[in-house]
Amino acid sequence: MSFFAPLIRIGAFARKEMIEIFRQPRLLLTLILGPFLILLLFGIGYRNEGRSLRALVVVGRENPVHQTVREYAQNLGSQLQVVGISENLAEAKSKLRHREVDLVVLVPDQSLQALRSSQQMEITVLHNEVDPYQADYVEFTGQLYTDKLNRWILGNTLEKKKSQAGVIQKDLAEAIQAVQVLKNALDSREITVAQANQKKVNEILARIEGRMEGEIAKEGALEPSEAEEIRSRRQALHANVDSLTNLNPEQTDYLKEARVAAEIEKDRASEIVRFSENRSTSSGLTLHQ
Amino acid sequence: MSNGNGGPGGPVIIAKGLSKKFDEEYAVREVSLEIYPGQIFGFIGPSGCGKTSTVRLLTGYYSPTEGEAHVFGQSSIKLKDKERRRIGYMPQLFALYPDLTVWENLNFSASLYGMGLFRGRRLKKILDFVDLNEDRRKLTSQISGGMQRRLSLAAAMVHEPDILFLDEPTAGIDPILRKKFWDYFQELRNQGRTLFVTTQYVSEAAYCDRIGVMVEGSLLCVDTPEGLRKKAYGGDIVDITTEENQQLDLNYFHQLSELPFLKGRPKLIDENKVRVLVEEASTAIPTLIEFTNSKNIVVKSIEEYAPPFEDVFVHLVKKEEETS
Repeated sequence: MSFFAPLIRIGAFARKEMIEIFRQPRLLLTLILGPFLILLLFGIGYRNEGRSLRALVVVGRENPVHQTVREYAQNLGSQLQVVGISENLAEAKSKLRHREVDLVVLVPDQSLQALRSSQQMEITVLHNEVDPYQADYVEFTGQLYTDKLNRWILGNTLEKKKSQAGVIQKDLAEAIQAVQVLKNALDSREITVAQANQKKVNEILARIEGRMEGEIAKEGALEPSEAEEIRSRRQALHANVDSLTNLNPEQTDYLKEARVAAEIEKDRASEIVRFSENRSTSSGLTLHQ
Repeated sequence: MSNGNGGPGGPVIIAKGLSKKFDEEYAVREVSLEIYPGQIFGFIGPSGCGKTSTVRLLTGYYSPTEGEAHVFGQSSIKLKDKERRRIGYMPQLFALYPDLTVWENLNFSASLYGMGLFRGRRLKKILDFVDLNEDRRKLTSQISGGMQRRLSLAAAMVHEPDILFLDEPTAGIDPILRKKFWDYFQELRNQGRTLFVTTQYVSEAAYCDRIGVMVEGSLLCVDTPEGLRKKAYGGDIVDITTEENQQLDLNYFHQLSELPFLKGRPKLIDENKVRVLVEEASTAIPTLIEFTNSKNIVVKSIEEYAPPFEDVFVHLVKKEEETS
């Protein structure tokens, strides 16, 4: 037994292993090419794009966002393909069960109330995936796109509201200006100027009234109490404006008429403030599934 | 019984009440034996009787459940490198590497035993001994089963061990190669080595110096081949054969039965041959010749009959069953 016996043993094992490997070309090939082949297989199997999900949106015909959903659901993105808009939840669920669709997106009936108070719409997403990996994918993608839809609906609604408010605000500013000229004319007893501006105020107010009436006419656009408040304020305004209709050039003073004009101005100014508040409202929704 | 320290004349392998249990079942039960140096000890028994387990106990691969085993005076489970280097073991199944050549396998075995790098001459010599030198460049997977057994034997004895444990070295090989193997073993024995050879071929007992007969985990007996024959039949067997025209008559048969040194009744094999059991054949044969001649019977031969070991084995097992 030599002193180098342990080294001889280790060397023998190493040599044996090397010889065995080199005598098995297939093993050698597997050892070298195997990892690359695995990478290649993974590469072939890997898809950078997720699978496109077929979604059916359930939204009631009476739902104020029905039309908005219908318009914009088609353009959500490549991974969520809206195959239809339905009003029948049972039918949608049946399609989901039969795998005709991958997702059912349920828009709540109380959507407008939520929008009015700048709150999130609770959109429910139903799916029928059992495979945990697919379920995660469907839930994530569903959440992503319904969130997008949700944000879009609120944003769009607010934008419309803002735009409308902007136009009315402009009319209001014009009306205030005309009322101020009217008031100044009354103060300086320039009755002809006052009469001309009274006419102008009348025209502007009629225009604003028309626009407001349109808003009120839109079903569900305003709360009943809000519509009622607008109507009562409009009646008061009418009364004030009517009292200025027949200005008598023979009057000694126009103090009473000037007070009415000031009241009209004050009323319109407060209206401007209200519309400004509406315009500053922003969307900040999150999705609930 | 000595402690088996391998000293001059003393036993090199000792087992005392050696037992091994697997799942509460005895594989080896109370085996006691002593093996002396320069002997071929045959360990004979049917398949599954506990031969391999005994070898593993003696080599320290298994720890005994009861009893103890000593090799070179050292407990087999506490054998040091120094003692282990003096032991060679050939397992029952081929355990070499099929993708290495004959030479590489042998070289690898030599390395495992820690043999020095200048061992080429020894390897060549051992390959010559097992007639594999010309096939040394062949892959082990491409040589015959018999050659693989010979290579296993060469690998077990490459480091010139004093004791060789050979576990069924002749199992599954043809009779000619078996004979060749036994010639190898006898040559190794003549070199002074001790061989512990297990086999299920009972006939191979004839090649051994001493034999242990194993049945169902127990060692039935240990003796020389002749001793086993005697033990099986209770004495020596002698055949008396007459010329073909000289038929044995009933009168002769009766008179023969009355001879005092005969054990049991004579057995008529055919009309010219009768078989008798005696205490000692060498002393009984001259008397038998004299007796037969006195009866005017022309004898063709009177000689000791050596029954095949298959029959001896069956007799021993039957006797053991009757005793137990």
